[in-house]
Amino acid sequence: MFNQHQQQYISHFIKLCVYIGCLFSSLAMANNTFSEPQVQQMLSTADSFRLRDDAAKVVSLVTLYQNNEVDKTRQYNVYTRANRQSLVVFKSAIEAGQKMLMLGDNYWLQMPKTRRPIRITPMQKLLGEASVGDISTLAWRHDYQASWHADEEISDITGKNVAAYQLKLTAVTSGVSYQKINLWVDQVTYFPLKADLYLASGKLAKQAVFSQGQRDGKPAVVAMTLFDSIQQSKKTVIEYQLIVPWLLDDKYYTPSFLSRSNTTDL
Amino acid sequence: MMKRTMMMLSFMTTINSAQANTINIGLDWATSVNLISPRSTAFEYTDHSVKQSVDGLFDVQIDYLAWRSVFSIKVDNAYSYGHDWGDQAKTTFIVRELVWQDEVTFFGQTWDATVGKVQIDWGVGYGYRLLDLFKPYRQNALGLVAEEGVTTVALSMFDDGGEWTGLYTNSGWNQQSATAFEIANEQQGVGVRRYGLVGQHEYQLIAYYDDVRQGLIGASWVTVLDQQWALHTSSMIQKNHKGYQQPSVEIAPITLKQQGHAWQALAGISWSSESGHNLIVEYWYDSRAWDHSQWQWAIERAQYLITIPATTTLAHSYAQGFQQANIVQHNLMLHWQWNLQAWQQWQGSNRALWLADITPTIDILYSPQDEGIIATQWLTYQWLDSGDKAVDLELSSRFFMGKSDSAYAQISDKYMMALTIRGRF
Repeated sequence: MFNQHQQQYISHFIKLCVYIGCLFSSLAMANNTFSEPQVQQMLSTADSFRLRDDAAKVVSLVTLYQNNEVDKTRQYNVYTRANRQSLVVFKSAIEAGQKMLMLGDNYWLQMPKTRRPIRITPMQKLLGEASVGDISTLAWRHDYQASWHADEEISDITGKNVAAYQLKLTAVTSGVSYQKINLWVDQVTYFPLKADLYLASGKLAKQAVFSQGQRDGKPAVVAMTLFDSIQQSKKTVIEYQLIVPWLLDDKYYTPSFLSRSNTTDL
Repeated sequence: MMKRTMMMLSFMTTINSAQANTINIGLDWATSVNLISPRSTAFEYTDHSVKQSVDGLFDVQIDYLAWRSVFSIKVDNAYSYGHDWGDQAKTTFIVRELVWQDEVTFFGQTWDATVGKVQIDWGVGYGYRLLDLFKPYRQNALGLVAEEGVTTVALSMFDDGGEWTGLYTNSGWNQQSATAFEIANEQQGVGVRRYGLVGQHEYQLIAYYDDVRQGLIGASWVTVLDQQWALHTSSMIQKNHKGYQQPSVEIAPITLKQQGHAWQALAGISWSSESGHNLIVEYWYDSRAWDHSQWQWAIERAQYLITIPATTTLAHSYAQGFQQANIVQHNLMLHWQWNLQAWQQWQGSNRALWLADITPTIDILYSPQDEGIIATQWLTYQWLDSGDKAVDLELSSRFFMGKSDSAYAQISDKYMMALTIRGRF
């Protein structure tokens, strides 16, 4: 039916069609690979590597470095539960007795040796010790709307190249520390690899890199290293020493309960 | 699900047993070098030379199970101007708090009980906290203070919307010397308080009966408007109060007497910015304080009485008006504090990182009726902070200024300065 030349032309034409098809297909995929629910699912999976349970106790050791030397350390016990509610208990010797209660976008601070919970605005919370916001936020999915941005190959904290999806996160609640986040997750597991954290002013405040380890025999984020983008001599390492299911009584999430002394052993 | 619940229960058991073996001890110390510049006023002629003194304070806080205790040793005038070290020293051991707080069950209902000496701080203001009903806690003090609690027996019940509290208090257990005004206002009584949280709104409703005020009701409301703005307001009406009454005759001292009903109200707004600025503006009214005409009369009378040797002490007696909770009835306060760490972050500055360890604060208290001003500034430097120990240096000063016939201009200190070093470990 076709001679040899015609068959070659047809073969080349078919191959060309396939290439063009693949090109358009991949371009189309590049522009719209994932639906919004799929991206939110990615984000939820990424969250689960940090925090699996709605109600949990998180023990964090925070080490602040300046010019690669330890400047100070902090320890926090965070009791988090559903509906964006957290109680942060400051455990370092110099902050012992201090607590912060977060109920959605409402915040209270209890200073040591006082019986006075102080109501603070979201902005005042941001102005406080920066690491408090960083250690108390262990899930993005409740505070951010995510969208897929790009496929990229990036280096993880060990220097190994990993194929990643770059997601763009935009805050949907008012009390978060960072208005926008660029988050890179592993293309296979959705494990969070790194994040660029932007202030409301649009400035890149910090870059976070996540360390993978094991918790209860499952892969988990065991540490987060924050590089200060503005003051580059500063670095903060947050080690999640313990994350366990934990449900505190409702009254611990009442502001007037903050000042009671029997919360000091939390 | 069952497994998880069991896991949670087992962890809850863990914390309880951990509590049983945990004793937390916190130590604080502070030393303050003070300068006071006295001045002659309508109420008192005095030597104008600057007085220096050195004070010290050592605090121990011990938390064990449901117990908390805070003990202080306060040394006033370890050094005093014109004397050798220790000559004028006065050492006071103070039980600031000694309290047991835990759950108890009555008739199948679980309550949170409080028994002991404890600070009860229900006020919501910055410059003045009118709902600190049982013992007024000094706001924004210069130098060293050791506030004491009140003897309390209280039961609280928490529900979805907040807390109900019923309590008895007695403010008579004090180790530090008190003024005649403070002693006269020591009270004991019973009351009930409701604290509630509705959305972003917080409220308090209080009813209390004691042997001094013979009945009061108070309320407060606090709300956050947006990222940067917050409002707070509180008010109180009381049936009686004890205060200084000016004599109806010319040659007589002022006297501390039971007077009639009184009311107070406070409203404030706070604002904070990404660049680290915190501002609070507050206005409050206290009907118990002397009004403008009473102060003018007191100043005029004292100016006359002080010139006659036989009536000099009568002139001095008018200065007791300064001991009342508020000196003047109408008060306007501006508070400003700057978080330089946030400012550096906002500026994108990588220079002079040591600036982040400095916190400047300024308070201006203005009396609109007689244009008196009390201006206070603090400059705090965080010298050391390792997590295990911290040392702060604080340079503070307070100036009593304004129109020459204002009440604040009659305070016998022209200015006060303090250099304080504080440590915690």
